[in-house]
Order: sequence, then C-alpha cells, then structure tokens
Amino acid sequence: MTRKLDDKSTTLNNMTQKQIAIVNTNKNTPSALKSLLSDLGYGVECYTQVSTLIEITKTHPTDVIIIESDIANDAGLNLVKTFNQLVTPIPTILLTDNGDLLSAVEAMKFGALNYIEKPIADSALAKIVHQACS
Amino acid sequence: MVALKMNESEPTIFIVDDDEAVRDSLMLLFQSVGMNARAFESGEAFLDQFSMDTPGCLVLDIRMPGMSGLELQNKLNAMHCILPIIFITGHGDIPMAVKAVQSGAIDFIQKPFRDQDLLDRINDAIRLDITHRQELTQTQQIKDKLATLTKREYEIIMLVVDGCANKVIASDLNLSQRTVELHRSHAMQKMGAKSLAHIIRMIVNIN
Repeated sequence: MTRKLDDKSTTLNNMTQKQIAIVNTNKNTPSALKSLLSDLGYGVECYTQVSTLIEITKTHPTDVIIIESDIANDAGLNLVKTFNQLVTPIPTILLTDNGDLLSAVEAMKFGALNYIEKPIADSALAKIVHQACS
Repeated sequence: MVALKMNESEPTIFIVDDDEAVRDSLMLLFQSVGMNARAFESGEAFLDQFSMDTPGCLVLDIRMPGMSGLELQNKLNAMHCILPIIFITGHGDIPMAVKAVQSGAIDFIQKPFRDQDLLDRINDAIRLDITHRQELTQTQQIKDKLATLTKREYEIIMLVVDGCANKVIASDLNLSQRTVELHRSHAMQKMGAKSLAHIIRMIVNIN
C-alpha cells in the first residue's frame, strides 16, 4: 500500500508534529478541515476508506482520528469502538452535520473524545483538536 | 418530601427532578418492580440528604432551576462520589449529552422513553456500582494491610513482587539471606498472602 504524501510530507520527519487522520466516506466532500488543520501545523491525511485507515494506523503513529459527517452512524460508531479498544487507544472525534442525541450518547459511551455538530467555529475546533493531541 | 428511613446497604435509586409529576411517576415505576427509590426536588436537597455509602444510582434531570444536573454531577465528582449517573432530558441537546458522558455519566436518555429501557439501564448501573464498591473495598483492605508493614518489610515485599530472589534482595540491601527470609515471611503473614502469586495479585490490584 502506498501512502499518498502531499507537499507537507517533508514535515513528517519532524517527530513532534502531531498526526491527524480524517476519514470521510463521502468522496465528493472537499475537506476544508484538512486545510485548516494543515495551516495549524498538523500532519493531516485524508481517507475515504475505513479499511485503509485501519491498515495505515497499524504502522503510522496517529494522534487523533476525525470521523467526518456522513458516517456518524453505525460505521462511525464501530470505528470509535475499534480505535478505543486498541492496546494504545487512538482518540476519535466525530464531526457531523446531521447528528442526533442517540448516536452522540452511543459514540461517547464507546469512548469517543468528542461529538461535534457542524457548523463549528474554526477556533473552537482548533481548541478541541489541540486538547486531543496533548 | 419525607425522608424515608432505609437500609443503607440496600441499593437505592435516587431521583433528582424538579418536576413533581416526573418524580411521582418514576417512584411508582421503581416501587412497582420492588426497587428502593428516593426522590428529591433539587440537587441541593439531594446533596443535603444522601449518603455516599449507599450503593445504587442517580437518575438526574439535566435542566432544573437552581443547580443544574451537570452542576450536581460536577459537585459529586469533586466529592469523589462514585454513584453512577443516568441523565434524563426532555430536549435533545447534543453538547450537553457529550459533556455529561465526558464527565462520567453512564447514560443520557431522552424523553419519552420506554419504562423497560430505563429499568434495564438502572439495573446495569446498580450492578456496576456494586462491583465498583467491592473493588474499592478490596483495594482499601490491601492498602490497610500494607500500612501495617515495617519500612523494611515493605521494601522487601516490593522487591519480591518485582521478581527478585531472596539472594538478590539480601545483596541489594546488605542483609543476610536469613534476615530477608524472616522479613519476607512476616510481611506475607501480615498481608494474609498465601503464596507469591497471591501477594503479586494484591499489589497489582491496588496499582
């Protein structure tokens, strides 16, 4: 499997840079989130396949996983569970634009770090990601 | 609200809700299935009257005049109260639900709910609380026993648990092997440990 590296790949060598994985199964969604987080100095990778994400995290240190929008359903919840049950759990944040109370509660009970409804101010999101990485 | 005298060790469902109709219907529901329950009209009244030693769970309304459900949760956390909390809310407010679970609530239920769903969650919560309390009691008993060891006994037992042989401990601490054996056997007696595996389990348990 080849890992697509963008122009920020050089900074991947910097061990102090926090690595964030964004998963969004909706291929047509341009991720404004990616540019925001890159601008904030994080290493950001985007995935449209849950299976690819799971494979990659086995070998690449990932500090936070952001599960975006349309999969704040069963698949998203399962992902939260998967990463929370690892020997070294990876924090997960769900970011959704059609959230409901039930899945929010379920996600949190499964060990998600946060469940956020869009729209959210960049500054608020930056703060949450920063806390998740520390 | 009349404070009913209850057996303190009997699991109790504490209800905190400002709405009298809700309190009454919940009391009826819990009594109908033979569970101990007490209702309070506010967080303040609950804090005044509840005992940390009573196992059970707390069914808590999130929106109340005066102290809110989340505020009561924070107060209980600050008191190191381990009573499991199930929040009940009339309106689906996601940020509140997230906050509540982040702060340790075991569930957050939206009205209207099925009676059986609530009862199931309450049963889970009570079981969890009882297990948690037993673990805490065991941990405390081990800590109490550890406190009766002399400094030397403690030092030696920790090395034993780390896997050091008597010979190694003796040379590390500049003691004779015989002295190490004596301290070790005294410590094991004080701890009530039957075997090496037993003492290791105790020490691992409290960490």
